[in-house]
Amino acid sequence: MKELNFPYNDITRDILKTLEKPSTSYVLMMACIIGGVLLGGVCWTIQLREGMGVAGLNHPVGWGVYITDFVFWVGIGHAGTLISAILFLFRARWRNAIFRSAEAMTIFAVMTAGLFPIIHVGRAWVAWWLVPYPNQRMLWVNFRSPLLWDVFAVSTYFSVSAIFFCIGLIPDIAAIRDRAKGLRRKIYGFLSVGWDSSNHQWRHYMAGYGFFAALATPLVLSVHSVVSWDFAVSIVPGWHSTIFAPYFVAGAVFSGMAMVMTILIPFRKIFSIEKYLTLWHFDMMARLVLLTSSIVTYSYLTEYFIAWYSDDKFEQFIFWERAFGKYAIPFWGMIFCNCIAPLPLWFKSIRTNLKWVFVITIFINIGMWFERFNIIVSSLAQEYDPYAWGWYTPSIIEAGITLGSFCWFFMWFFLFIKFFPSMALTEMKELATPPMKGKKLAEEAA
Amino acid sequence: MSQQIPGVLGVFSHMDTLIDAIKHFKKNGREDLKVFSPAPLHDIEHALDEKVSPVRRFTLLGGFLGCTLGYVFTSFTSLDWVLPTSGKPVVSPVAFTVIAFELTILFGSIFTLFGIILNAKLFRKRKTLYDDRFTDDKFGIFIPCTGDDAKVLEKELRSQGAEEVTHG
Repeated sequence: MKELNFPYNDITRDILKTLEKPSTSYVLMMACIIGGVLLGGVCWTIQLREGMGVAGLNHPVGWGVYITDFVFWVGIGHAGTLISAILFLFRARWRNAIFRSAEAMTIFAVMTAGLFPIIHVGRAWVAWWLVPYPNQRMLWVNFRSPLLWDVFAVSTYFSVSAIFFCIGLIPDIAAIRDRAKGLRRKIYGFLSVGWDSSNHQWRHYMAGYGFFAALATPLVLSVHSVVSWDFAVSIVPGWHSTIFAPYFVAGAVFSGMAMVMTILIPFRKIFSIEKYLTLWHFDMMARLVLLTSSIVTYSYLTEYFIAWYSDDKFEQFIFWERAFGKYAIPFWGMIFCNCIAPLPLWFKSIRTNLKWVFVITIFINIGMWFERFNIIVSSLAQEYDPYAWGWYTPSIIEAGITLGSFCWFFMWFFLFIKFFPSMALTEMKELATPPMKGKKLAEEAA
Repeated sequence: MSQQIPGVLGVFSHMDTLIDAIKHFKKNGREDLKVFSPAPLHDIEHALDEKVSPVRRFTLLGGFLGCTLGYVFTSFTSLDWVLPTSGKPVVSPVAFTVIAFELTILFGSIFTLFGIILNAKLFRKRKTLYDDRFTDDKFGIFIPCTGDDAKVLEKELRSQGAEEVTHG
C-alpha cells in the first residue's frame, strides 16, 4: 500500500492529465471504432428493411447470436458493480484505482446489452410494448414471464448503475471545474451540480454512497440470476437447471473482470499511470479471475454430473451432443478458454506479467462468448423431437452487428476517458496520507 | 439572485492543523463551521462530531414504496386483464417477488439520490466563500460572521494555523 501514497496535488495533476488534448493515435483509433459502429448500423438497417430473414435465425433456433451478445454484454457489466459496490462494502483498498473505469464499463456494457433485445425482436419500433403502460388494447404485460422480469432487472440495473456512477463522478467533476478556464469551466461547473467539497455535502454524500453500494450488491446478484432464468424457467434440455443463477453470476464476474483487465492493461501504458495502477492491482484482479474460473469450471462439471445422475435421456443427449456434436468447436473453445487458459494464473510470476495476463484475458473474453453461444444454440437446435431439429449458422449481418456492438462499447469508453477522470481522484486521495504538519501524526495516519 | 452569506474563510495546508482549529472553534461554542476538504476524511468527521445523515430515511422510504408498488401493480394488472397461463395462479406472489425486488432497489436508489440532493443542497448556487484548491490539496474553514466579529475571527483563524484568511 505504501507505494500508493502520493501527495494530493500529484494525484490531481496526474489523473487530470488523462483529459488533455487527444493524441493522433487516439483520433485514429476513434475513427476506426466509429467505422465499426457505422458498419453495425448498416447491418441493422439492412435487417430492418429486409426482415429477420437476413439473420441466421430460423425454426427451431430462434435465439442465436443476438441473445448470446445480450447475455455476454450484461455479464461484462457485472465486474464493474462488483468492484464499485461489493468491494466498497468489504473495504478492499485495491478497488480505489480501478473502480471508476470498471463502473464506466458497466454502464457502456449494459447500454450495449440493451440494444440486443431490440435488435432481436425484429420490429424494433414496437419494442416499447415490453413496458407495462395503460393502452388502447387494454392488455397488460405478463408478469409471470421471465422475459418480463428481465426487462425490469436490466432496466433497474442500468438506472441504478448510472446513478451510482454519476454520483461518484460529482466531486471529481468539481476538481476539473476548479482547474478549468472559460467555457470548459462553465460546462464542468454545470455538471458538478454545485459541489463545494464541504462537510455539509460530504456527510450526506458518503451516507448515500454507502446505501447505493448496499443496494447495488443484491441487484448485481439478481440481474444475472434473472437473465439465467430466461433459460432455466423453460423446460428445454440443457437449460432447465437450478444451478443456472449462481453459475451465470460467477460467469458474469469472470468475463467482466477479464474485460476490465483487457482494457486497463493498455490504458495504464498509454496514459503513463503505472504508478497508480500497479502490478498489485492486476495481481488482485487475476486472483478474482482465477476464483471465478474455478467456479465456472465446477459448474460445467456439475452440469455433466447432473445430466448423468438424473437419468434423463434428453438431458444426457444434449450434453453429449454439446461435446461431440455439430457445436463441438464452441464447446471445446469454451473449455479451453475458461477452464484451461486461466490456470497459469496460479503462479504469481504470471499474474504480475501483464503480457501474459492480457493474452489470458482475451482468451477468457472469447471463451465466455462461446459459453453463451453453446448454451443457447445447442439446446435449441436439438430439443425433444428429432423431426424438429435444425442447425444454425450466424449470418454475416449478425456478425456485423456483433462487431458493431464491440465498437459501440469502446466508442463510449474512449469518449469517457477523454472527458472524465477514469480514476477516482477523491478515492485515490483517501488512500494517501493527508498533508500533516506534525510528523508523528503523519506516521500514525500512514 | 442568491444572497451571499458574510463570513471569513481560512485556508489550511495541513489536516492536523485544521483538526486542531475545528476543535478550538467548537470548544468556543461555534457549531456553524463549514469545513472544506479534498476528500471525505474520518478524522475531520470525528472532530466535527455531526449527527448521522438523514439520507437513510429516504432510502428506507423508497425501498418500502418500491416493494409495495411491485406487488400491488403486478397484482392489479393481472386482475385487470385475466390471462391464465399454464394453470398458474392469476396473482402469482412468487413470480411477482422478482418485480417487487427490482422495484425495491430502483426506488430505494432514486430516493437515496433525492436524499443526497436535498440534504447536501446540490443544484444550488454557492453562498459562501470558496477556494478552488479545496478540490486539490487545501483544507478550509468558513465561519459566518459580520462586522467586528470578522476581525476577531480572522485573528483566531491565523493563530490556529490558517495560512490565508479572506472576508466576504
